[in-house]
Amino acid sequence: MARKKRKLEGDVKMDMTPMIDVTFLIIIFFLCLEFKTLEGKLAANLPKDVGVNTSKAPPMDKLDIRIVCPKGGWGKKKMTNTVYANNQRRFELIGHRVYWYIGPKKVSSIPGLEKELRKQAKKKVLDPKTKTMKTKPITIKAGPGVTYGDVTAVVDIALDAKFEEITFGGGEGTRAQQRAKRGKRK
Amino acid sequence: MIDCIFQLIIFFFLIIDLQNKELEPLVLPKAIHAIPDEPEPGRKRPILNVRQDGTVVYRTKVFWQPSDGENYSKLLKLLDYFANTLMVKKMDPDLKRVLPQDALLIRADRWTEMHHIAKIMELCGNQKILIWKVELAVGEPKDADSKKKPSK
Repeated sequence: MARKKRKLEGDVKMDMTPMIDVTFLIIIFFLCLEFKTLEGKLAANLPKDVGVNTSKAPPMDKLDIRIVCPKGGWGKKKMTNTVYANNQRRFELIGHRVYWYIGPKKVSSIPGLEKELRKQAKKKVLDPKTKTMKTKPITIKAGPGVTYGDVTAVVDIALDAKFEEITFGGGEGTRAQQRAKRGKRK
Repeated sequence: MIDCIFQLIIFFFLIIDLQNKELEPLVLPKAIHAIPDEPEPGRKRPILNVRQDGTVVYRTKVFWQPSDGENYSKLLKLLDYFANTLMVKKMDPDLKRVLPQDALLIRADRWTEMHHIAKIMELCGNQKILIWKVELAVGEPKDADSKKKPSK
């Protein structure tokens, strides 16, 4: 009897299968976390009444925001380890800077831009279509060297200041195109 | 047995997720006032990805790249397909024209020159296309601290 009991005690083995399963599940869970990145969107409009159009657009006071990248404001490219499908390496811009013109007024800092846009948002205009008072429609124009991040920052601040209608003006070419134009003129 | 089935389910979920070809691996700028991007299930929506050099990608296919120069014919065809096949169209009472009512989602890297996105917007204004709603993809700030100030 005593021998049988000893034999049974000696046979006890830990089953590793559930532990391995759980470990795998945890690995997959953390892998999933890496892949899922939060994404959002900023809504904006493009001018509807472009090209040949028979309807008359009633005049309305608008606010132009022009983003300008000064000479030397593009910054320095710092290559990262991310490689795109076309074997191009992704870069970060170090020291990139822009300034803004809100109408004729020049603004050179983000807090200044926030302050100015909040001030402008208080000035309501009459919407000729709905006959109600609302914030001025904004048109954002980007100069050469201005990046997507610069523009989304302005849209974000404009939405914070409660502007409702945001449209985009035409681009003024890339930095390379502007350089080529200048070269031709010389 | 059940463990194995669970493992397989998770594996296939991962595979499906990784095969999501709509989204290029881009670093989006962060924004505080972004609306969470929750597409309606089963609805096809147009997403254009713009890489740092301006290359326009839709479902892993390139529709414009810098070597194409001013030749935007492929991209124009694609936008025409979006406007006239994918998007719901409605009569605009002001313009008395039928216009697409869905928005085009543009995803670009934070350091992509805006000119490339402005070019897409310009093409959207083509008389055969007339897409007038756009959405700019941005990353949402992950923590509460970054919600205080917009990060650039």
